[in-house]
Amino acid sequence: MTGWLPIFRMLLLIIIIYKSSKMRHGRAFVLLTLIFATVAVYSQKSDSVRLHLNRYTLTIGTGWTHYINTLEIGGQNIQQDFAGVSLKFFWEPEHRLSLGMETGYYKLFSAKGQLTDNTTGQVDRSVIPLLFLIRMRIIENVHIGIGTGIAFITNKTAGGKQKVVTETLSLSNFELSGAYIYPLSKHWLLGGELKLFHFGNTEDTMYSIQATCAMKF
Amino acid sequence: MNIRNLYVIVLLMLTIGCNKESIVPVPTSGNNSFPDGTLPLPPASKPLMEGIYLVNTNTTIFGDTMVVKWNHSGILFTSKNGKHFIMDAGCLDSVILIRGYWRDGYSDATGLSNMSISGSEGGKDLIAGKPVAQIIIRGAFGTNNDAPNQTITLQYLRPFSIKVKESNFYILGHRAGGRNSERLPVSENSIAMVRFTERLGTTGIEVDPRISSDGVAFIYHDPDINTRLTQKGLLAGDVSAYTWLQLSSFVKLIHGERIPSLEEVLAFAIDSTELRFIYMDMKSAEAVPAVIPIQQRAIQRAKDKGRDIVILMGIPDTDVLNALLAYPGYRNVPSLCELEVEDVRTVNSKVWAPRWTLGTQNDLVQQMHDEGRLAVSWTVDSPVWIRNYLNQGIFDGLVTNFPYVVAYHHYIQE
Repeated sequence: MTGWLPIFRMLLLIIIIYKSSKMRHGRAFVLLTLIFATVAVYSQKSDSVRLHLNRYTLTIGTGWTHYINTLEIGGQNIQQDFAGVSLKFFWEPEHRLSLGMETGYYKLFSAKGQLTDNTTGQVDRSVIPLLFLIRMRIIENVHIGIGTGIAFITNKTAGGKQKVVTETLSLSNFELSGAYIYPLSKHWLLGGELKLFHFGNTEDTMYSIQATCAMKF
Repeated sequence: MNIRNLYVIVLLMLTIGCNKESIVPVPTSGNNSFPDGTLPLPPASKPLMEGIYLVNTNTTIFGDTMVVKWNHSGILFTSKNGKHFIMDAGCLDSVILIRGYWRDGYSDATGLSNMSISGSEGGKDLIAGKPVAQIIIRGAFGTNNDAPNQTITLQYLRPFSIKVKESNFYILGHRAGGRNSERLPVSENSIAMVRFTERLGTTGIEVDPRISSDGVAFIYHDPDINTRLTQKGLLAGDVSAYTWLQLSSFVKLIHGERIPSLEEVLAFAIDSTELRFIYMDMKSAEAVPAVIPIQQRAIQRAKDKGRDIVILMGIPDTDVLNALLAYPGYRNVPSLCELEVEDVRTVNSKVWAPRWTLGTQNDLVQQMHDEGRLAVSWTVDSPVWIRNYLNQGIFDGLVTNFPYVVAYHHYIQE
């Protein structure tokens, strides 16, 4: 009865590769996904150690963010580097894979542009993601993760005698991350994390390097 | 379900999303497609060239027959399966030269094409403005920018029928003449599309008016700024939240055009095209009070220029209907109503426009005709349905994303 599962998984991965090959940022994502999937699916069979199951982790992080400027219009006079914060909650049902949720606040860019010869406008874009995460420990203290979910994108536009604020709900988003997490004690962990976000509605991509502090309970 | 299966499902959710639409570049052979000395074809020659042609070669690609129809900008060759040639023509001595490109409306296939009518095969008489019983168009077509290398030969079969010549049928291009989904070289709902659309065989257009936060009516289909319709830029979210200055400064449509105001579009259509029908498919009830004076000015402009063009406010839902009913003298606002025939009568619409899925509804369409109104259906795209609507229905026009297919099935009618 369980013999069809590997075949089913492989078929799903083939579909994923096919669909992702048509996405603008898809190929690198698929490669990482394949590596991640292969390790995740097949590594469990030979590793049966089960210690400290069903634990929870609350992690906060802060650090530098960089917006990858692929704007076709208005991308010349743009500020791309800001500070960002994140908050994650993980459930660790087994020793290798964890499930969690992540949110945070990131400013993507601040840009200036000419409205008329004498008038300049300013546009600021920020995002609050709300993502479902899967994280896997690949070697001691080193984790990789992948996530998907929604994001609230806020655009503030000033200039031309009117300030406009729009909110956009982006439904197709993903995150890839890698983290080094060092346990200070039974309950406290410190670490660093590199992560890449892509927000589908506006096709914005950014990465962030953050220092993290986690509490395990 | 164990965690690993859940993981695979999440991966699937991550990667199966909307694909960005591709763009089909227009093939070009450069600026010298016509030899030096080529002159414009005399206006009297054009209608003599129009008609139904037998396809003598490559019938598996283009079918057995093609319709050849001149438009404001050039000449269209169109077949029943969506393959069409967008061409220009000129004359050199006694030869008519025809240059351009072909497209498959239902795929990305395209290529250059060169054709000609020799003097002895009709060219000489056509240039002289004399009716010709036998016209042979010989030429070739290729793939993308490669030199045309596959033969095509068209043989004149007959002129358009009396029924076609006497009909006032409207071929209405969706979203100012064509959607981005059809991978056209210009953006939907742009001035460039209004200029281009007649080359696809349209005789009218549907546009999508909205209103900016400072009260300027503009045309744009979606409620939000997105990369399906626009180049990736600084603005995002509700398009109507922005001022006209912000929209016109910070947003470019997918092929680089500015979002046009409704007034610009109407003026361009009146002044620079031969379009005969403009259907303003109102995207918000709030825009109704702003659009009415624009419509009135456009109608006056058309009258002043002697243009035979119908400019109608579209009523797609009850919100727009109620907004129009709140306007004093609403029965005098020329309108097109997509709702029930009772609503058409209430608001005194000139045109009833039911959704195509409701069928041909010949009895109701006949009632509209009896009341002096027209009826058009939207949005008919499948070649089978287009043929059925033209053969079995009595509509006065069709809104379509494939005007060249409608043109084929309309002009080929006996």
